[in-house]
Amino acid sequence: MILAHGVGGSTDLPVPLEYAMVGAAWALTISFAVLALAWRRPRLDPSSPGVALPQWMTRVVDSNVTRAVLGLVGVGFTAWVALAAFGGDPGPTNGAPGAFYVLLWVGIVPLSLLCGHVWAFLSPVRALHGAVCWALRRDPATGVWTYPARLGYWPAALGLLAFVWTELASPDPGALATVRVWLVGYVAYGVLGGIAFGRRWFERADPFDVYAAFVAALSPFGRRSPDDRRIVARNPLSNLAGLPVDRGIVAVVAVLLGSTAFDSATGTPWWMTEVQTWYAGSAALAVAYKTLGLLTAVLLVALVFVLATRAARGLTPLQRRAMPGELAHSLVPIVVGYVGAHYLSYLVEKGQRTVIALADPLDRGWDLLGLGGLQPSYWLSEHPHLLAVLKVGLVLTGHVLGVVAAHDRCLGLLPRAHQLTGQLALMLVMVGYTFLGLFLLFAG
Amino acid sequence: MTPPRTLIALALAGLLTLTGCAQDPPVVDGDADAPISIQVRIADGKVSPLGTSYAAEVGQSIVLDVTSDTDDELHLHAEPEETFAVTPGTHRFEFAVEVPGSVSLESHHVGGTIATIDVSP
Repeated sequence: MILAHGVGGSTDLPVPLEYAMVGAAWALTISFAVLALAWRRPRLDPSSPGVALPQWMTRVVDSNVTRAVLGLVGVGFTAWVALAAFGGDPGPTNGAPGAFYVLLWVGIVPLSLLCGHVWAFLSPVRALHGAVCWALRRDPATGVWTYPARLGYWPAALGLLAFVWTELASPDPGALATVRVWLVGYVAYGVLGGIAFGRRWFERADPFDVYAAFVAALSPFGRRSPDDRRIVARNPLSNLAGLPVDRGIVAVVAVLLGSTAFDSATGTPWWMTEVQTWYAGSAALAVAYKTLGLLTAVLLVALVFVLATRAARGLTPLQRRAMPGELAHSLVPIVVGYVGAHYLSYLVEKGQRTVIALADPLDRGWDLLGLGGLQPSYWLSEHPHLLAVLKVGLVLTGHVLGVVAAHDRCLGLLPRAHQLTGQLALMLVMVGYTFLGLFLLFAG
Repeated sequence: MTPPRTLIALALAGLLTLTGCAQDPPVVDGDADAPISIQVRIADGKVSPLGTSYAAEVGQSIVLDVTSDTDDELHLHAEPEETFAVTPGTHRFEFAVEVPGSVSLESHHVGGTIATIDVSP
């Protein structure tokens, strides 16, 4: 059975046109208001002290017990999902695809947004790597080799592309075989890469870890400084300004944004009635066209962003080349808004179905924690107008935060004489992304 | 960081406008009792139509007439999923969707999304 997004079921009703129009009008207005009225000196500082949280929180979070417990939770949950993936019957009662496409891929976003980079504790590959290092008496921070700096985020970007390709373009994303390949492949990739290159591997090459870290940069929690590890609450945009810039950072955000746009685009009447006629009836052609569409969407998002960020005048060639990377963090809120809008009901409703299915991974009548007898609630789907407002609101919030983050960074990067004009191209691109996002919510 | 008051005011006004839209529009009393009819033809390795849009309401009866020259399986991606087995000949299936959303009807073996049905509450 070929299932949309690997888990099947219905998708959201289109957002009414007037909601999308109101959202678009506000996106445009607020963008220019930011440009014209907001501050003139950079204010978003990732090294700002923030509000210190009680010392015991830092002690608890950084204690070995917490690390061990959360690591065990991550590994245990992965093992439980592996039971379903390898031992359960295929079909809608199997929770493994949902654990992969819903709980992991979508759940990681609200988790990181609300709690910071807790994925670093929960990640099964980090925990397994830690256990291996402990057994071998090795320091988990360092590997056999130093991670090649020139790779930057590129391995993670390619990993993310592989994931979205599996979900949106591969022949059978919902098949248990697909989930098995990813499960085994990812654990091997993470643990072996970690042994080879140390902790840096997870920070640059692990697709899920990098995704979680990017979203966590927008959370209200951070450390006081690299030396003082006290946990502080800080303006999320100041945290975001501290997202480490490295090669391939634009590729990471372009994959996330482009793939979500592509996913919506395949639901539009144009794709359904026109593009579909080119490939319907041939599985190979379907994969080819969807792959082409996915790559086009990702490349377009990246190309437009790179051109716009490099358009500013008054920069040396070296500064100009650095601009896309320096501004890439400003796309993170747009990604989160887009993904949030796109996957909100999916996470809530398919998530419930997945948890219920996981109560009995091997179809032996188990009922873990009494979850198996629950019925999913479709409350969100039953209130499509509220859902539409939430979705447009998420896209709009992400857009505004992105524009503010970009504005602040531009103040520090652009020469004084070109600050206003230099931001204009980027802002128009962001407005374009948001219009496209809203249009796809309406047409998809 | 303290954003200028103008920005906060704009953001608030934006949210208010959005929530203003949230009132449900009056329910249109169409012929919600009349069943919706979907005609599907599977011939020579092709499915038609492709991607036709329908609008329905929760619980409204949908009648699916299939003429096929081959074995196929039609999947209705609704909550819960439904499967209709097709053999050469003509078939009639009748169903209703109980959870609002955009539901797609797909041919599994021949391949293709036949219809999307927007089911409103």
